[in-house]
Amino acid sequence: MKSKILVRLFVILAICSLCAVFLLPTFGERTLKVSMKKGVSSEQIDNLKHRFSGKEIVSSSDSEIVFRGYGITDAKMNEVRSLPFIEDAVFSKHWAEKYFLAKKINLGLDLQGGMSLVLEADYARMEEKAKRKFTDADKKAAVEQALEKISGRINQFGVSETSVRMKGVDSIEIQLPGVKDPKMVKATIGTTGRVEYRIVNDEFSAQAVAKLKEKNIEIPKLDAEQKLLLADLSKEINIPADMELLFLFDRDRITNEIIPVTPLALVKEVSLEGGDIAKASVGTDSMGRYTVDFSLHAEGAKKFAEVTSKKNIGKRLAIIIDNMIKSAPTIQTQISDGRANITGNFTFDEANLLTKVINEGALPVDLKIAEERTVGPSLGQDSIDAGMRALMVGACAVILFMLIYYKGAGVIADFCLIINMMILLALLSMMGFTITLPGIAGLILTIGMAVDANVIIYERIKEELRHGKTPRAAVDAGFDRAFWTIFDSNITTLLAALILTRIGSGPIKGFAVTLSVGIISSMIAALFVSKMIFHIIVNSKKNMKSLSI
Amino acid sequence: MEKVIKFTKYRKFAYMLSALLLVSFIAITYMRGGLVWGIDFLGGAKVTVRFAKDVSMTDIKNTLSENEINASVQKVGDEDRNEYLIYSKLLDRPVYDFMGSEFSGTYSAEDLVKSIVDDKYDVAPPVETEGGLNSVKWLNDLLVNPNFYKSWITVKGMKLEGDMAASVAEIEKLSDFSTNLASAEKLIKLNRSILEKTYPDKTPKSEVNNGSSDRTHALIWRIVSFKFSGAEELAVETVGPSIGDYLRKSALKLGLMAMIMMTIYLAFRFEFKFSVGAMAALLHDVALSFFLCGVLGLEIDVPVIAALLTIFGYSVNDTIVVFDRIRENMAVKHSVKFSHVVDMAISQTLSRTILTSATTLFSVLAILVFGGDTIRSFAIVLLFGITIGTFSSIFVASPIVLAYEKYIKKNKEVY
Repeated sequence: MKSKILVRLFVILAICSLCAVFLLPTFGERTLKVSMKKGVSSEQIDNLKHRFSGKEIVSSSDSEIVFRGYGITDAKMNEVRSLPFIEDAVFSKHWAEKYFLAKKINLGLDLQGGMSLVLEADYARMEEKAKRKFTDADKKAAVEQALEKISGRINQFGVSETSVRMKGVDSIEIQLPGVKDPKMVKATIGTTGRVEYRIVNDEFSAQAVAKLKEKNIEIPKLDAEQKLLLADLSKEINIPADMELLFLFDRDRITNEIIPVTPLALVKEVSLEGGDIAKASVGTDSMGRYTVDFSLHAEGAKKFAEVTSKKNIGKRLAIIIDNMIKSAPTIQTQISDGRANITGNFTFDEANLLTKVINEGALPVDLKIAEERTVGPSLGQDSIDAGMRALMVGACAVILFMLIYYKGAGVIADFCLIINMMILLALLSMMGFTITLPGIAGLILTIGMAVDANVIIYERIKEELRHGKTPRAAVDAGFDRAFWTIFDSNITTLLAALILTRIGSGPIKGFAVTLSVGIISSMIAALFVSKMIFHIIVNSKKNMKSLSI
Repeated sequence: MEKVIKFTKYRKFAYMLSALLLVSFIAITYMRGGLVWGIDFLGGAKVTVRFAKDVSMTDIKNTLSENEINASVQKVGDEDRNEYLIYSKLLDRPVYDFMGSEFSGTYSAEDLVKSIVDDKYDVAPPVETEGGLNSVKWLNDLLVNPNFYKSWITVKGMKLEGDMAASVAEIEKLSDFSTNLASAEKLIKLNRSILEKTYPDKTPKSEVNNGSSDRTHALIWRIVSFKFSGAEELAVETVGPSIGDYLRKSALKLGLMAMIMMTIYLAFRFEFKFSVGAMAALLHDVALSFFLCGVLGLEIDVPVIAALLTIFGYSVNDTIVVFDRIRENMAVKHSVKFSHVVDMAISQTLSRTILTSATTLFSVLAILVFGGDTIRSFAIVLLFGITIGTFSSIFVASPIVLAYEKYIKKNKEVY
């Protein structure tokens, strides 16, 4: 008998300590390594240290400070990362992560700050090109390809723990925790990245320019109006079917904006396209302006040599990106070494962006932003604080209530509640779960519902005691009879919760997962752990007369 | 002998109370102008802004309504911080393309407006770029657009009639383009009507971003950052209209699926009549909680949907404890009338029903008080839902099982 009790105690302790180890990466002491940019001032360092007041400084040098302490969250890390003088901030792996394969519970974007985008595919252009309506399979294939490219582009930002995934048939969901420059991200994602080289027809170009002059109107700024104007001009100069008009864009000296400057007539045949480019990189020309330099594949090089051969010398070659002519240099000699460049009056950032996008290749389908959520890291930290406060208060209220109402048995219920929470959080961390604010609400709710099972059992035991049973018999009967009650009621709720995890909204999904896992863990805690403890107590004293319940 | 309260005797009274509650909830909702769907469903933009100086909610609201934007403003965060949540549905007035583009110019808006009015549009004087100038970006953007000058000058030189002439006259009167987006926008509209005159058949309607969520955000933010210098954007949420539709459909579909699954499970573990009772109670709880949002004017957003779905699960959980006891009593006492079995089961489980709700309410109260603004509506709906769920477990679910049983028996006697 004694040995059986010892075994049970051991099992409970083992579960507790295992869960505790799994929770260490999330709630334990964490070490954050902050590396700073060169030339950081002492004021800035003080500013940084001030943000971590109360935390231990493990090491400190001109370029790197390591902080250690409790309560350093991912939101804090992202906040530090977004400071202008900070190069990067990373957490060192916790020993529990290294040796016990424990994982930390990821924080959702609403808690740690970051950006979430939903992109919707627009098949109009593709369908026009293919001259047919797309089937669902076509659409899916196109979006899947786009997803791969987008992932590649996003990796360039060096943000860790990003997620890019399909949402439905024609949407892509992107999550970027702690992103520094949301505008840049949107610009990069929004570019289709189509690059084309096409020959300019000078005769019709000149006609178009003359016509524009004759009309005496400025080139409009709206995209739609530009298209209208081009359509008008094309009609008026009777452009042949194998040519079309596009605008050459340049940077306005005063406003610094990229604006259309003149229309050019281009042949529709594409001489060279993005797929022919092996690698793009940022370079500078003889005047120190930034350029995008290409090296071409063998086949691309052959094509390029052909285009720049004798028959075309003296003609202009337009470089078109996303339907905008970036430049149109005159072909002077044949280029056969497979190298080329674009000069488009770029800033470094623009040239760099274009390089990245070209290297990844064009998107197979146009995407537009359907939904955007951006949360600053400081707001995220506020939400963490609010959520944790509510969690603590809720837990304390429930624990106190159980103690007052059930006395001795309340201690067991509270103990079970704590074990339940540990199991729940450990399960969530093992699942690699991402917790959001509604998820925390789900946790708090689970606390309230977890003791329900204990209440059902205790009320039943009380009833059996009232019927005159001995404590031991009452406990046995209570657990036996309550088992199916708890089982049925929880399974029904679990059914509902599990179905809701399939819902299309991230926050609700997170909430439903927390609730589902919470139901399972509270069943384990009430039906097995508390039963074990009761048995230990009831069996420890022979002929127990009364039960504190 | 345990005390048995005759709950089922009061069931007609309970039905009436529920019906009355539901009818009055619906009536109040419609009197208040219907349910308020949040931007998660309708599409729109939500911006959390930290202001540099003390501002009042009315200040922000007025600034926006001066510019013909009907946005909701809500104070968020701690009392001592100037943080507000501003949200607006998709603006259905066209927000022209220039709104979205970024521009860094060196002109002062006031000078440029003056130069337009004085016809000296080609000699706009450059001024120093300072912090404050950042906020007039959008206006610069508009004013340096050569197309804009051209049309303005053309308009002034044209012999116009009717509406156009009236709007020119109206615009001439407006002196402060620089602070009022609406009047500047009128200018653009005019500019566009000129364009449309130039290209009569080809009005580029489809290409104008008519109320996209991104533009709605851009518009709000430009006005706010323009009027309140030093304002800082803490968080942005923009949702397109298609997403909301998808969410609503998937919530309904999955809710229905969950109900079917629960019905099957209950029919399997208990009897079909219990499924009827449980589902009736569930619909009762969810419907009342849903219309509570209308009564309180709570915006229906993602957290509220999460709360409704929780009530969905919780309502049944609570009800089953009673059903389980009915099942147990039925097995023991064959001779007793079914209504007495039900009354007995409810009485025996009464303390359980109330205690389990109480513990859950404790945690919901904690969320309500400490959980922050984003999930406050979640807590309010849940608080009501759990309370009403307790009521329905006692007064609705089991009496309906009883009523259904009676109905079946009566039909059997007839045939």
